[in-house]
Parts: sequence; C-alpha cells; structure tokens
Amino acid sequence: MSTIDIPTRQRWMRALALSPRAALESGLAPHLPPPDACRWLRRPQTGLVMVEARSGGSGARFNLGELSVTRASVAVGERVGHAWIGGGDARHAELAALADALLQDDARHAELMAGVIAPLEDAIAARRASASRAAAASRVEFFTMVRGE
Amino acid sequence: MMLTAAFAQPVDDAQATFRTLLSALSEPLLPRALPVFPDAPAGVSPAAAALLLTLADADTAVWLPDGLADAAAWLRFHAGCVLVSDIAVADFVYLPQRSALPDLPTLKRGSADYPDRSATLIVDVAGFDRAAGVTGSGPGFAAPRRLGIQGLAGDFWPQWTRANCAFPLGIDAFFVARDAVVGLPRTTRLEL
Amino acid sequence: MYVAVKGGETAILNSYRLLARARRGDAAVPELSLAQIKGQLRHAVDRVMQEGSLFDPELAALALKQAAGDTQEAVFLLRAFRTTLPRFGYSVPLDTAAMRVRRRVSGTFKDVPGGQVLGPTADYTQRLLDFSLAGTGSANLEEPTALAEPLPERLPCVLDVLNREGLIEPETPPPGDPAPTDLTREPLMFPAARATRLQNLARGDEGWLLGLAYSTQRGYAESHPFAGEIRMGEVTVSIAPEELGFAVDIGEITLTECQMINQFAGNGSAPPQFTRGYGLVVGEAERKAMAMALVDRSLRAPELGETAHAPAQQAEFVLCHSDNVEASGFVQHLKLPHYVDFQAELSLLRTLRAGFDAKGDAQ
Repeated sequence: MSTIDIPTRQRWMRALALSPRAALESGLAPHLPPPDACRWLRRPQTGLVMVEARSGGSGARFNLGELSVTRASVAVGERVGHAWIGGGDARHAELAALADALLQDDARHAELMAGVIAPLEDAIAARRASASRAAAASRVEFFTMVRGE
Repeated sequence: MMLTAAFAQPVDDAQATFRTLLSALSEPLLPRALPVFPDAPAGVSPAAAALLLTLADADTAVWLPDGLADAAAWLRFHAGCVLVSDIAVADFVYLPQRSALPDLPTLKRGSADYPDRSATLIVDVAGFDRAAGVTGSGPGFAAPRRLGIQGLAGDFWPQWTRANCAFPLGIDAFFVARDAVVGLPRTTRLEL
Repeated sequence: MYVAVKGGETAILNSYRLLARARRGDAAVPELSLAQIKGQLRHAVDRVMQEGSLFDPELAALALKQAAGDTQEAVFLLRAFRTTLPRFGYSVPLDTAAMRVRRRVSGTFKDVPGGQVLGPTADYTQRLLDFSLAGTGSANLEEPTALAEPLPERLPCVLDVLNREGLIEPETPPPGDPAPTDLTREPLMFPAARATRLQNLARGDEGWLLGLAYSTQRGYAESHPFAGEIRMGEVTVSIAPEELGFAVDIGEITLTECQMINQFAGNGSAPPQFTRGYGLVVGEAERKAMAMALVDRSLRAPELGETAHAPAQQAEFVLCHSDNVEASGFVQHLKLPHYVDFQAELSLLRTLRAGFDAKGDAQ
C-alpha cells in the first residue's frame, strides 16, 4: 500500500483534470507503462454528472444542469488509478488514470510530482493569473456626481 | 481487496442482456440463455452479475445480503448504484443460493399511482425443470406453462403470493441458474 | 388527434438531402468548424448549453452546426443526445464565492470591496455596426494595458455587506442540507420547492424568462429590484466518486451569477428587510441570469406572504411553459396529420352552416 495522503492525491488529480490533454500526453510520454502491464477495470466511458449549486450561492441545493464527464480506471501492478475528467475526451481520462496509478508508487512518486505534476500546476496558475490580470485591467472606480448641493 | 473488471463491452453487453431480460419478462417461466457474462466478484454468480450490471445504476437502490463486501464495492464501482441496508427501500434485491429468504411482503410494492416503483428480485437458483413445478398463465402465455425452479427457499411461494396479493401493487423476479434466466412478473397467475 | 400515414419514403429521403444542402450553403465558401463556432459564437453555444441543460461546448457547437444556427433545434438535439448517456452522479454543490472572476459589477454599491470589474462586456459600446468585422483578418486585437496585480483569489460578495448589517434575509442551507428534486428524474409537481423552480428556470427559455422578468418591472408584480451583484468567471466542479471516498476537482465551467435585491416590507414573522432573487447560468449570459433572478423572486411571493396575482408570480404558469423543447414540440405538432380530426370539424361546421343558412332563408 502506498503512503501517500489524500490531499496530495487530490492535488495531482486536480492538476491532471484541469490541464489540456496535450500537456498530459507530452509530460507522461516517458513514464507510461507498456500496454500489457495495464489492466483496464473500466475503459474510458463518457456520461453525465448533475452539477449542483446553491440558491443565493450559499442556501439550499438545487440542480443547475448536467456536465459531460469521462472516467476511466486502470490497474498497474498493485495500484489502481482512477480518473474523472470534465468533457468527452477518452484519451485524457486514460492518461489521467494511468498517471494516478503511477503516482501512488512510492518509488516513482517524487520524480513524477516534480517532473509532470509541478509543471502542469505551474501552467494552470499562469493561465489563471493571466486571465485575472486581464480582468483587473478593466477594474474601474466610478465617480458619482454630487447632486443638489 | 482488488477490484475485478465487469462487462468487457459495458454498453453493448448491457444492452444485449437487457434485451434478453425483456424477452424473459414477456414470456414468463420460459428459460432463456443469457448472451454474455462479466467477471463477477466473490459470492455473486456470473449470471446474477450480468443482471445487476444491466439493471442497477446511480438511480437505483440495491440490497445485498450480509457478507458480500467485495460484491458491494464492485457494484458501487461498476454500476454506481446506491447500496442500502434497509430492504424496504431497495429497487433490486439479490439473493444468492442458499441465502435466507427475507420477508417478501416487506419489499417495496409501489403505490396506486406508481405501481412500478417496486422491488425486483434477482434470485440465484440451482436449475430449471420444464417437466415439473409451478404452472403459470396470463399475459405472455399462449397456453399454461410449467416450470420447476430448483433450490428456492421452502417458503418462497407462500411469501411470493402474499407479496403480490394487492395487484397492481407487488414485486417482480428474475431467477438465474448457470447461463439461463427466467422472468416472473407479478401479472403471472400461478398454480402451485 | 392525429393519425399515422404511410408512404412518402422517397420524398422524406430527398428532404434530408435538401436539408443537408441548405445547411452547407454555397460550397465555394469554406465550411464552419466546431472550433470556429465555439470560439467565435460563444453566446450561441452558451445558450444551447443552458437550455439543453448539458454543459459540453463541443456538443453544443455540433448541435448548432447541425441545426444551421437554429438555437431551439440545437437545444432539442442536445437534450435528445443526453438521454443516451449514463448518469454518473451528482457534483459537490458549487462554491460560486470562489469564482475566478472575469467580470463583476454591482448596481447597488459604487465602492464594492474588490472593485467593479467590467470584463468582456458590450455594455459600454455604442452598438454601432462595426464594418471592420465584415471582412476577415481585420479585427483589431489590442492587448489590455497590463496591470501588474491580479484580482484577489476570492472577490468578496456584495451581499455580504448587507448581510453583516442583518438587512437582507440570510441564505443558509436548510436543516440536513437535503438533496434537491431533479427534474430530469422526477416530474414537475406543485407546489414546487424553490430548488425545483431554480432548476426549471436555469434550463428555461431565455425569451420566456426575459418577457416575464420585464412584466414584473412594468407593474405585473410588486417588485422593486436592484442588481446587487453580477459576476462571471470560472468555477471548479468537484465530485466525490464512490471508489475514491473523497472529492476531486474534475473541471472548470464558466458561470454567470446574479444576486437581485428586492424590498420587502416584512410580515408577522419577518422584519422589514431586503429579500433575494437568484440567477445562475452556465456561460456568459448576463441577460438570462438577471431575468432568472427576477422571476425567482417573483415566484417567491406566496412564501413571503405576498399576493400572487401577476403571471410571473404564478409558479404553475411560469414553470409549465418555460421549457422550449416541450413548447416547441407542442406548437409544432400541429404540423402532424390531423386529417381525421379536421374532417370531423369540417362536417360539423357544414351542418351548423346549413342550419344557419336555413334559418336565414326562413326569415
């Protein structure tokens, strides 16, 4: 059994889900196990997840609408990797499931976190910062004219 | 515990099985060959596993007897269904061979508005014998048909009769043995 | 009543061919790609996703292409497709307060904490046709002037200011935080809980909601709304799969959220305070989010002890007619053969007319 804690696993699963498939493809290419070392428990399958929100943002739950989601699960040796990815890209889910299995391997964990996950996280952070800076460029101060004095 | 796989082709295999189940219900008490079998977890026959994968999903509540922890995890993973400990709220109730028979009249039997919101039994049995047993008639029978269902609990038929005494409320059942399935909807009139 | 008719197969197959040719238009003009539709007609894609109630820009773009830009036909295609997909489950409720905001404005406070952020809006354009867009390759794409500082990670919510003073009704989960009714699984029943109404409105036709919202402002409902906050940006979606036992982030969706503030004089049990109307839709869709918030508030009339006399306050009227797939199906079913039905009407009318004429002759 792996010694990795849940927050760490949530961290890499987030990075794998929120990154474009091409980034996973190139980052993982040198690390992927040969196909005969992988046992697919659940091949990529696209379905729906109902997205819940809350009235007023913080009140009672309500159903907003459905999101396409693709999931996959694979056993690599003793470790089972799962992936749940928004959208309909089967290959993205496949790569994320393989990465999830490999990252649970203590012998490879550190190398993959530094070599694959950290660059993905950096790219996500850079993308978000750039969007936020662009939005901040349209931040205004409105001046109200004083009336009746 | 190590998870096992399920249907090799989840969509095609479930559709083929579903088609067979429709046929089984439309001609009750007539055994039919199931088309495809998944890898099954410990404690569940491949035929019952095929039915559970075909019928259970995130909108259904499934009841399993105690002692099937592997099967519960397998079913949650592959079917995404809710597993319930209260048999009275279950949509599907699985009974492996030689398991204790729950009190059938306590199962969900639907309401007058929605008699379909009721439980369906999936029962593993020893075999079928077309030369003996109960005789059915009614919808789906051109003529009365006999079938012996071997390995049922001793009080199964009295309980079945009591669970289905308030038609259209009631329960339905599938029996599986090896590669065959038999349907028994509540509409079938039985001579025991 | 309509009856089945047989025949016409060749005619039908040829109508398919004509449809495909009409969709493609002039073959000398390059065909639209889904990337073009997604990238350059984002509001059309968003609307198809909202009313199709399926968040998948790729599929929405395909539906728009197939429907040749007919939004409601595209919505129908998306709704039909979703029925072929398995339901995996429900997400963790979204945290819109953690939205990575690209636009945020308030019509109630000038100095909102975090500032007003205009974002990609047409509000300040002159609405003059821009003929520079008529060609291709002529768009003027200047970068925004760079600001060193990004926005804060969590932009404070405007209504929290009023909340701190206790001047607006609190919005907290009910005891036990129950799962809402799901209209894709359960039929719409009345009285409908607010959660059910919000799901119906979120997938409702924008034109219908806009007209109803407008009616509340013109006097068909005692409503004096303010746009407390409108925000648009990206929110992370998480789910907690059974096999993991913990929540994972699976993607981001663009959302527009509108918090309307309405005056409320109070009643026996509630003090005078502001009440809320809530709008939340996928994509960039401020008009729809605002209309949804206004209609949400007007539908709350009975629970707030207000008389519900205007159309926009009557849940059954509003919610039963909001779905444009149902509406368009029922209106358009009149195209189906009603031959037998109509023959009956015709012979009835002939009889009546004969009687009428006979009476006229007698006088």
